Order: sequence, then C-alpha cells, then structure tokens
Amino acid sequence: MDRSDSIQDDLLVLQCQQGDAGCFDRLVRRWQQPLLNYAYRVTGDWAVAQDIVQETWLAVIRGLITLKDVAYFRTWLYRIASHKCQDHWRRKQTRQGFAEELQKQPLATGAPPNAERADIDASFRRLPPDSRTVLALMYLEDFSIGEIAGLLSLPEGTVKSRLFHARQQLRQLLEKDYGPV
Amino acid sequence: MDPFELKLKNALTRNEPIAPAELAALNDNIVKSFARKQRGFHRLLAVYLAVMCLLIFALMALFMATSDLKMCLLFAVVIVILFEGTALMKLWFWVMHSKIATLREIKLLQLAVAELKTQASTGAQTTAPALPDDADESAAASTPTEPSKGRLRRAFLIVAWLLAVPALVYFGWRQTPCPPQDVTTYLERANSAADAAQWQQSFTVTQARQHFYPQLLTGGKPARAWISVAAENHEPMYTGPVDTESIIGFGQAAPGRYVVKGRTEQAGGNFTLRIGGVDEVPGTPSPGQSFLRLFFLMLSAAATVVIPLVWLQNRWIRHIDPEPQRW
Repeated sequence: MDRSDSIQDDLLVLQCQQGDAGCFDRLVRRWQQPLLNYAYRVTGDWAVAQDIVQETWLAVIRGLITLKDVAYFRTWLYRIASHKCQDHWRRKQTRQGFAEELQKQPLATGAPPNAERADIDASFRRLPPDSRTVLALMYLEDFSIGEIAGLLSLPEGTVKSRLFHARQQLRQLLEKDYGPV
Repeated sequence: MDPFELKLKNALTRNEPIAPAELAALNDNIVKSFARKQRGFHRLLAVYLAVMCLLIFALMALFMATSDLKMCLLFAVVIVILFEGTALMKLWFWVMHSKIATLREIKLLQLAVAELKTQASTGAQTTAPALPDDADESAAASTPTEPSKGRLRRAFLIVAWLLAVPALVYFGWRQTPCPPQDVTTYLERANSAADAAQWQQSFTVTQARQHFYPQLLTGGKPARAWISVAAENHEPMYTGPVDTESIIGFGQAAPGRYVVKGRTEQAGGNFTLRIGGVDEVPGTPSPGQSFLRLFFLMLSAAATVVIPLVWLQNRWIRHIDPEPQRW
C-alpha cells in the first residue's frame, strides 16, 4: 500500500466519522477481503471468518467516532479483528478441549492444484491460534514487529519469540507430514 | 526473508476470493448497520434538543406563573442548567466536526503532495492531482434534482412555520378566559402598600348589572385584598379575597347603596380597588390554564424568533464554510 492509498484511506475514515454512509461503503469494500483472509487464516473456517468480520465491523461502527488518529485505522481494525478471533477461540475452548480440536484439524486433503501451498495451508491450520495470529499478521498483512506488538498489546520481544516459535512449529509440522522443507 | 519465509508468505497471501454475491450481501448488512446507527444518533440528538427546549419552555412558564421566591430561584437555576446542556451539546458537535474538517483539509494537502511526488519521480507530466471526494461532491451538487428538492423542503418548512406560529398563539389565547370588557365602575379606591388597617367605604349603584365585578389594578405587581361587600343594612353578599388576576363575580348589582369593607393582605406597591358591574363573568383562570397560556405563548414566541434565527445562523455557517457538512 503506497502513501496515496494510505491517505485516501484516512480521508475515507474521516468522512465516515462525519457520518457519510457512502464513504463507509467504500471503506468496507476496501478492507472486507483482506479482513476475511486474515480471519480465515486465523480461524481456518470461512463461515466463522465471515462472522468475525461482521462482528469486527459492528465494533468499528460503535467505536469509529472515538478513533483519535485516523492514520492508525488499519492497526485498530486488525486489533479488533484479532480480539474477535481470540474471543472465538476462547468460546470454542470452553466447549471442547483444544487438544481435541487439534485432533479434528484435517491433514493434507485431496489433490490440491498447488501441492506446496496446500501443504503449508494444512500445516498452518494445525498451529495454535496465537502462532497463527502472529504469522498471519506478519506474512499476510505485512505488519512490522512493532505494529504487531502494539496491535496485540505485547512487548516486541514476546512478538519476536512467538514468531520464531511459530515458524519452528510450522517447519516441524511440514517436515513431519511431508518430508524436509 | 529466508526461502521458507518467502514460501510461507506466498502460501498465505494466495486466498480464494469469496463469492461476489456473498461478499456484497455481507457488505450491505454492514453498511445498513452503519446507516441505521447514524440515523439513530441524529434522532437521539433531535429528541434530546426537543426535550430540552420543551422543558425550558415549561419551566419558564412555571417561573412566570409562580409567586414563591424559592420556587422561582429553583426554576431559574434548572432553566440555566438545561440551556447550558443544549449549548454544550451543540458546541461539542461543532467542535467535533470542525476538527474532522480541518484534518480532512490536511489529508487532502498530503494527498496532493504525495501524488505530485509520485509524478515527479516517474517523470510524468505534472498536473493537479484529482481529489476524489471533492469531485464526487461537485458532481452531486450539480445534479438538477438537488436544488428543486431543497426549494420544496424550504417551501414546506416556511408554510409549516407560518401555520405553527398563529396556531400556538391561538392555543395560548384559548387558555385565557377573557376578562369582561363592558364594566360599569361603581367605586375606585386607591390603597397604599402600608395601608394595613381595615377600611370601609360606601358607594351607590345607579346602573343595574347582573353581577358585581371587583378588580385590583396594580400595574402588574401581585397584590391581594380581603373585601366584604353588602347592601346597606343587609348581610354581606360576598366576603373573600380579590387577587390581581382573579376574575370573579358575585351577587346582583341592583340599584341602591352598598358598603365595602376591606383589608390589604399583600401588596408590592400602591394599587386601586375597583368595584364595577358586569353582565357575564367567565371565571378566574386556573393555575393549569395560566401555565398552558404562558407555555403556548412562549412556544409561539420561540417559533417566531428562534426558528428564523437558527435558519439564518445555518445559512451563515454554510456561507463561511461551503463544504457540505452535517451540522
């Protein structure tokens, strides 16, 4: 995203803060797909991802007027989405143990069009939610370490160590299921 | 990035796009929620302002109707608080929108600079960058339906206003029983505030009327006298108070000699007691009628003065700040 895009986003957010529904429509269209992709990566389920994105936008509608610096809209948006994902996992954990959930995660399925990608997808879905979140924010959404730290309310060191462990876990899973990476 | 990280990034960034119809339905729901919330917010503000204004008018009417000093002070304080409440709300709204408008101007400048930078770096011909929202607004403003809609709305509001003012005056006027106009004066006695002792005076009725009609003429100040009126060598036909605004009638004003005894109970200054004769007495207005009369009259005054003032103020704001904003 270049500088002009970022400023145009800021302008859209400002218009939305003034109550312009047309601009909000444009803002939603602009961020809907990236948010869905992120939520899908973290939850591994399109239906859940859609629910999470809808809840995220409802929270945005409620809190948009309180956003002081529009330049942080993207970070704020993903922060809300991350919290919604965490809420989802928490709710799910109360219903069934996490270990059981891991058991249920599918391994490599069928004959994918791109085998390497499918391998990574399947192994990625078997990672714990925290690891998925940091990896998705880092490699899918291109957030910096500092931004991820701010977004998840964690120290930068913790984010770095989580990223390191998440990569290690993913590498191990891939090697275990599909051979050397 | 090492090769594994690149592989991971490639795998994560390639997602199957969601079906356009499904995505559109999702977007529509969200945008409708936003529009609903905005409508709710504006309705809430309108209701808040309307309730505050009605409360202020009601309290002003009570303030005018009561004669108790402590209650007057209480009403005055509450009126000031309510007035401040409306003023602060409007101020908050204005400050918020001004801040957003200023930020928007800054962002537009930043956008122009960023576009010029990009053009300079790519060596493209330098032209003024297109500012997306302004273009939309000017296009919207130039559509022919907008002015006619505005004119219709304005015409409707003017008609509504022209109907509302006389209607409010009429309702206010209806609450007041009109005092009798055709009064035959039999006695006029000037009293001073210090005149606390009981007094007595006689008068003669030459022109017969259906009722006696006592009045206190005080020049607007509240006063109360206690009177007893009797035909000479007869039992009193009325013994009781006469207030500044009371419209009472008693007995039959038949020709003859009458005696009135009186005592001043409350007076803010000099006043005149007049005893006259009338053929019909409509009765004293009740406290509820007094309140409603003042309330409607003040509403009519507000509709006459405040609405045009607010309209002029909004026109002036639009004149000094032509950006279309929701004030």
